[in-house]
Amino acid sequence: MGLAIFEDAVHKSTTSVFGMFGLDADLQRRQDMKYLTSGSAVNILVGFAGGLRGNVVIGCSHSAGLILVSRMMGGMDVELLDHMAQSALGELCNMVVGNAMMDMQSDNAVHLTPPTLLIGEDPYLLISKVKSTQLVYSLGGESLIIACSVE
Amino acid sequence: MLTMSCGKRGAVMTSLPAIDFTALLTQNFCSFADDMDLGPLRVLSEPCFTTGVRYAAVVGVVGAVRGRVLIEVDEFAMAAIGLQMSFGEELADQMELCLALAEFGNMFAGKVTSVLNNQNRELDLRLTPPAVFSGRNLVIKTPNLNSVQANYRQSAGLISVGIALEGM
Repeated sequence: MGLAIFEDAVHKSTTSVFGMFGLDADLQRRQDMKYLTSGSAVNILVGFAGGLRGNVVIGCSHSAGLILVSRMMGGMDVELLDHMAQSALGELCNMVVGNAMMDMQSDNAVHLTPPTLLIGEDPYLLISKVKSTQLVYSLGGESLIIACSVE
Repeated sequence: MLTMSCGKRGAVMTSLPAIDFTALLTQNFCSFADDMDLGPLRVLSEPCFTTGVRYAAVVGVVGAVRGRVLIEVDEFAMAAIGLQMSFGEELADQMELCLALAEFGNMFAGKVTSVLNNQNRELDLRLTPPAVFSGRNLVIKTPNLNSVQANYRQSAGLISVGIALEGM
């Protein structure tokens, strides 16, 4: 199963899941990378193993994270990425990757890890040492990155 | 010990053996660090990381239960691990250091999951590729999962190892 097919499945899933929350994720560009890296302040990592093995990371700024959580909570004002907000972001990433896996129709079962949130200043994230892809979206003027790698 | 329980959909699910996860983590990390020639480790009650740059390797675990293994180090311990992983060659490039920590995390996660799989074959735990994150004031969370953590001072720097699994 190639990276291009997986990338398409992730893009379809992102559009569909974000649409469920009334979010319009506009794909700006796709870029292939020798290594998969991200420099976002807020990162949500979901790994998978089984029929396919790899990682997906949703990376965004603090303010984009707050927009995502607010829309997931029906438009409620969200000012902090607290435990509830972190859980919501984790669930969002889980939904995106889970939907993409359903779309892939892999012959063998693929198991997802629980989402892990990584938040920090001056971040640098190395997700994979194999050829990978980044999907860059615009989300209400904020940039949101979905990085995918399949080994 | 093998424990079986019924899941929500009536499927039979395998749960974790009733073991002391802190002891599992501590024993395995100490022997692993010894194998890797990281020098003596002193147990700390808290992580004691300063505000400087921290590196973390996250390895996902899937199977009958899901979770993650986490290794956090400061820049000094990171350099020491890089040195051991490259057989004494100093790694100056951040990418190379991250790859070394990723492999270090993968090896340790493999050791811990092998111990669990040997205690209960039905767990069938497998690993996802490792991810490495660096930054200041890092917050790393796996929401809704309990975790255990062990903290060490190595001769060069600080190391913290943790495991979080469903049903812990």
